[in-house]
Amino acid sequence: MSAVLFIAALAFSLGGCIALALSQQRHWEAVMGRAARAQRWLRTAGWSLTAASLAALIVSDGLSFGALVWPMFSGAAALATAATLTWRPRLLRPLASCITT
Amino acid sequence: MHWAHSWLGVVLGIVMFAVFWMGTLTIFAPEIDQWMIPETRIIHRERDISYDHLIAQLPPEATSSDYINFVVPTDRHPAIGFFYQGADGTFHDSALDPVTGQPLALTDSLAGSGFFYPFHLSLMIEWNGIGNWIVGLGALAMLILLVSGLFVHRKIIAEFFVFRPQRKARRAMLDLHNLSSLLGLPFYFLMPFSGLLIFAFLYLPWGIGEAFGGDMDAAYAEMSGDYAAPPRSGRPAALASVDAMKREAEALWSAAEGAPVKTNLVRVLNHGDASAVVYFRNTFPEDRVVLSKYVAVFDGASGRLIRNFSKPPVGEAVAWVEGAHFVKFGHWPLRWLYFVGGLGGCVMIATGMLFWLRSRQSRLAQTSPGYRVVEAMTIGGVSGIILASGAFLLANRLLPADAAVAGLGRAELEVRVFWLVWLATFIHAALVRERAWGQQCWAIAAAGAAAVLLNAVTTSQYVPSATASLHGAVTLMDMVLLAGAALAAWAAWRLAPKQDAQPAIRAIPAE
Repeated sequence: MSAVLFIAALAFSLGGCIALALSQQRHWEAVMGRAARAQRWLRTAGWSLTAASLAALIVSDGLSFGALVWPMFSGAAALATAATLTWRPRLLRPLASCITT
Repeated sequence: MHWAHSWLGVVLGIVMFAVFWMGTLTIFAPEIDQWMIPETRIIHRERDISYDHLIAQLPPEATSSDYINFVVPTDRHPAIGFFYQGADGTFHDSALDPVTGQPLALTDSLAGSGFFYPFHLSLMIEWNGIGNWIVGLGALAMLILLVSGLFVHRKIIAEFFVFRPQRKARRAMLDLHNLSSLLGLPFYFLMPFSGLLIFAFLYLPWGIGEAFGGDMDAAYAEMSGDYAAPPRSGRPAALASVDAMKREAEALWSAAEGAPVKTNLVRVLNHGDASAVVYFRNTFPEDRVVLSKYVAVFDGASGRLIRNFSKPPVGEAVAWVEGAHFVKFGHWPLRWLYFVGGLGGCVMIATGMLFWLRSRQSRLAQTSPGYRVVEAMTIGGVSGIILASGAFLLANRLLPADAAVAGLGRAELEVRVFWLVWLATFIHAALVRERAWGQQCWAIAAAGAAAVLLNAVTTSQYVPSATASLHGAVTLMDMVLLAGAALAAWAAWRLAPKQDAQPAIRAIPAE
C-alpha cells in the first residue's frame, strides 16, 4: 500500500509539473502549435496535484521522511518535464489534446 | 546584489563545488568503504553479537584503554567497527569479523568515510581547524547566493522548465544554471543550513555556552547526552555483563518509543577500572530521520543504570535537521534522490562559474591574467577534483599492500595521489586553457572504466558476480562508476572542438 502511494506521489508530482508547464503560453504553444491559447485553470490543477503528492507522501512515509522526499520528487518531476519540453515536446500533445476537449 | 552574486560565486565557487562533490560521494561512503577495503565485503545477517565475548578477547594493549568503541554492524557496515585509544594516547581504528569477532586484516586506506567525508567538512585542511571555517564560509556564501540568485536571475520563475541547448553556449549555460538551481532549491537550501547547524558548536559557541557558564563540554553533554567519564580510580575491577546492560538499555528505549529501538554504539570507558562506564546510543536509527534520540549510561562495575537520556522536543527538531543532512537512515529511494540532488548542485555551481567566464570571454580572454586564473581554477575545481577522486580510487586498487614511500604509509600515499593529480589538473588547465575541459573529461571516463576493471582483476568481484553473491555495495559502485565514465565520455565528445569548415571547401576538386 505504501509503495503504491509512494509511486502515486511521484506520478502526482509529474502531473503537477506538466500541468504547470502547460499553463504557460510558451510551453502550450510548443506542444500544441502557434494558434492555441494556454488554459489558465491548469495552473490551479498543477498546484493541487503537487499538494496531493505531498499528502500521499505523508501517508506513505510519514511527515518526517515525506517532507524530505517531496521537494526531491518535485525537482525530479520538473527535470523530466523540462527535458521533455526541450527535446520531445510533441510527446505531451495527446495529453494536452485531452485537456482542450 | 548582482555584484555579490557574481563575486561570491567566483571566489567561493571552487570551495562550494568541492564540498558539494565530496558530500555527494559521502552519501555512499559505506559502499565506497566496502569497495576500497575489500575485506569488509561481508554479507550482513542479523546476529546476536556478544560484546562480553568481544571484550574478553580484546588485544592486550586495549585492555587498559580509557576508550573502547564498538559499532554494531548493519547491512551497509557489515563488519563490527572497533575503535580504541591505546595506552600511548593514539587511536586505533579497525574492524572485527561479525561471525568470529577476530580482527580483520584490512587494506590500509582511508576510503570514503576516512577521506571523502572529512574532505566534505574540512577540505582535509587540519591546520588550526581552518578547513572547517572555510567550509562554513562556503555554506554561508551558498545561502546568500541562493537568495540573491532569485533576484539576479529575475526571469527564473517565469522561465521555469525552459532549457535551450541549441542556443548560443552562453545562453544555454545560463538556462542550465537557472534550471538546475530552481529544481533543487529546497535541497540546496537545506544542505548548507543543516551543515552550519551541525557545526553550530564550532561556529557560534558563545550563545550556547552562556547558559552553562561558558562550559562548552557541559553544554554539549546536556544537549547530546554525551557522558564524560570520571578519571580512573586506580582500583581494578571487573566489568559487569555488557550484554545485559545492552538488553536493559534497548528495553528502556523500546518501552519509551512503543516500538523496537536498537543501539548502534557500545562504548566502554576506563576499562578494567572501578570507575568504568558503559555507554549506549542509537546514533543512526534506520527508520527515522532524527538522530540519536536515546542515550543510556551504566556503571561498569555494578551494571547499574546511571543516566537515561532522551532528547527534549527542541533537541529532536535539531536532530531532524541534522539527520536530514547525514542521510544515514534506511530510505534508499531518498538516498538516491539526495545523490541526484547533490550532482544537481554540482551542475548549478559549475554552470554558474562557466557563465561568469563565458560572459567575459570576448573582452578578457586574450589579455587579462585574472581571467586566466579564474579559468584555470574553474577547470581544476570542477573536472579536476572529479579526476582526482577517480585517481584516488585507482591508487587504492594499484598500490601494493605494503606500499611505503618516504615514510608515508599506503593510506597516506592514496591521499597524496589525490592531491598531486588535483594540482596537476590546475597546471594542465593553465597551460592548455579551454581544451582542458575535454581532455580532463576523457581522463575521467578512462579512470572510471579502469577502476571497474581493476576492481574486477584485484578482487574477482565485478558487476554480475557481485550481484549474484549479493555484494550490493560492489554492484552499486561499479554501476555508478560506469555511468559516470559514460557521462564523462559524452561530455568530452560534446566539448571536442568542432571540425573547421575550411578544409572541406578546399577539398572540392577545381574542375
